[in-house]
Amino acid sequence: MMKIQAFGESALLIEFEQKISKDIHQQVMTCKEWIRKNIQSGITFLTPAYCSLCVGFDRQLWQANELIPYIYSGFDQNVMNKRQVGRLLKIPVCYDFAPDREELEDQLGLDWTTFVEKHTTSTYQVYMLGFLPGFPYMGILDAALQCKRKTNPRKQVPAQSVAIAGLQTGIYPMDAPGGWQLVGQTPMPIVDIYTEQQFLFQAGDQVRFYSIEEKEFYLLKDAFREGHWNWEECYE
Amino acid sequence: MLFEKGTGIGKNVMNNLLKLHFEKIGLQTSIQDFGRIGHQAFGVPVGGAMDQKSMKQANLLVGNSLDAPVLEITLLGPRIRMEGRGSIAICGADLSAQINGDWLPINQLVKVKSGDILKFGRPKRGCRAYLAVGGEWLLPEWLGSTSAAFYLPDATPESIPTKGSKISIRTNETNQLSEIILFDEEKVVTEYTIRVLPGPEFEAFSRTAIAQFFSQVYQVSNDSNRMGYRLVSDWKIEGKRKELISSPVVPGTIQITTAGNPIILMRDAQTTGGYHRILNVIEEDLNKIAQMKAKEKLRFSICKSSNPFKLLT
Repeated sequence: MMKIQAFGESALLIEFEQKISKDIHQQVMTCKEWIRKNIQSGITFLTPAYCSLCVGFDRQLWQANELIPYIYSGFDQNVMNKRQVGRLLKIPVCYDFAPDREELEDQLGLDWTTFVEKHTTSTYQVYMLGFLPGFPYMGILDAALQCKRKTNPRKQVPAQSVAIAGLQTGIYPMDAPGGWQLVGQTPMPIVDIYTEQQFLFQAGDQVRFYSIEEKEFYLLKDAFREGHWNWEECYE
Repeated sequence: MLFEKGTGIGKNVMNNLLKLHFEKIGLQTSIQDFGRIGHQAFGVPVGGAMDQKSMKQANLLVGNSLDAPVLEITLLGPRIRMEGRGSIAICGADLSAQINGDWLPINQLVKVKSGDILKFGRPKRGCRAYLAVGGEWLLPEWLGSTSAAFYLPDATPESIPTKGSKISIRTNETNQLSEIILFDEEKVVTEYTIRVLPGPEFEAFSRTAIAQFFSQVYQVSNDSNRMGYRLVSDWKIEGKRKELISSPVVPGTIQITTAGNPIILMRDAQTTGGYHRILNVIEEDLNKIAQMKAKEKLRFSICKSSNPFKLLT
């Protein structure tokens, strides 16, 4: 059941069933679209997450106790938008740059070839962006790959590291501290302030990883820097 | 070249530049405005001046729009050499500002000229001072704001001054005030009261835990910054809390860590989090927190609803 409550003075929090699933996320995204279409003024931001949506509003125009009943009565969570399959992105990953390889092989009881095979087989959904600008929270990870966060988070995780934790996999957009297990690195920057789009991912995207060799990693990295390879090449 | 028609002062308005040369940076000095709202879905923090009230006051004095950029100065200020003429105002914390060695009052309009040296001394009251300059700051924006993005410095390179860098302002000295008088700012506060509203997980805490939380005095920890203020006390909220699926947070959200300590999320906080959101600080009081230093004390008081603010206790 959907639950809406005031969140501070100028935002609402809409919560759906608290679990990580594509169906619940579809409700979040449908609700976001419904608000965007039906409340055309005074909405300052919409932040979708796994199973919740934050709605910012201008409190000179709205009060929480006006918006809450309006959404409850107008939005029917049983009527979902036809599942729009989001953009499919194919992301190259060099799994040789995996500082946590040994720890994971032990913890999961897998050899690295099997790990890479499993990580590149699933198509992941981007559930939300958060933690850092452009950081995609993707899932759901194959049960055989689900692991714990690191006991001691790293002070510095290199930009473009591909990481896993629990049901999730993600990519660090920039150097930052972090507690996820590092399994590889992509040569593709995922935040680029010099482009119109700025961020490679958005909530709702579908993502597949493919494995590349170290040599190709450096070739692609150079190609991106020199402008011969860009985000367009990732989209299916 | 553009001239304002009919005013006869167009040329003058266009050509006056005031340049701020940074000879020393201080502890944390950055350009801030109202921040960037509407990009949280991409994980971009809202950002903006920590104490927006003081920022507005400074802009009001110099005749700028209230959301114009200001220099946010934290505890230990920079040393700035002026080139050109203009007017400035400093509001918020009293960080012992001096111009050419003379004491510079806060909350007043001050004229500056080439060669003037603005520096700061011992922090007397508050934590963050805001320097406004009358006119248009010539700074690039990122996602609609000049606010420093410390997490992505390339996005706002000119908003994070470095030693030897400079920032130019095309000055405009119209619509200015000479001073603003604040009635309660001079009082020395030993313990702040911060007004809060219940957060999404308020109900997940026991009544005893909530009662204890509100009777507690908290101290601001050293580990407090533009992202968040960590609070410490000899009492911790106990009990095992169910792990949450990451969900949105906003500036002002108070989270309870696994260890049972509160963190107040500030303007540069990330956009999602997984800790229990017990309360939300009301927006006005977030400005008060921005003026609190490590070791200062606060307690919380709950409001019944956000409209109007009725105190329960």
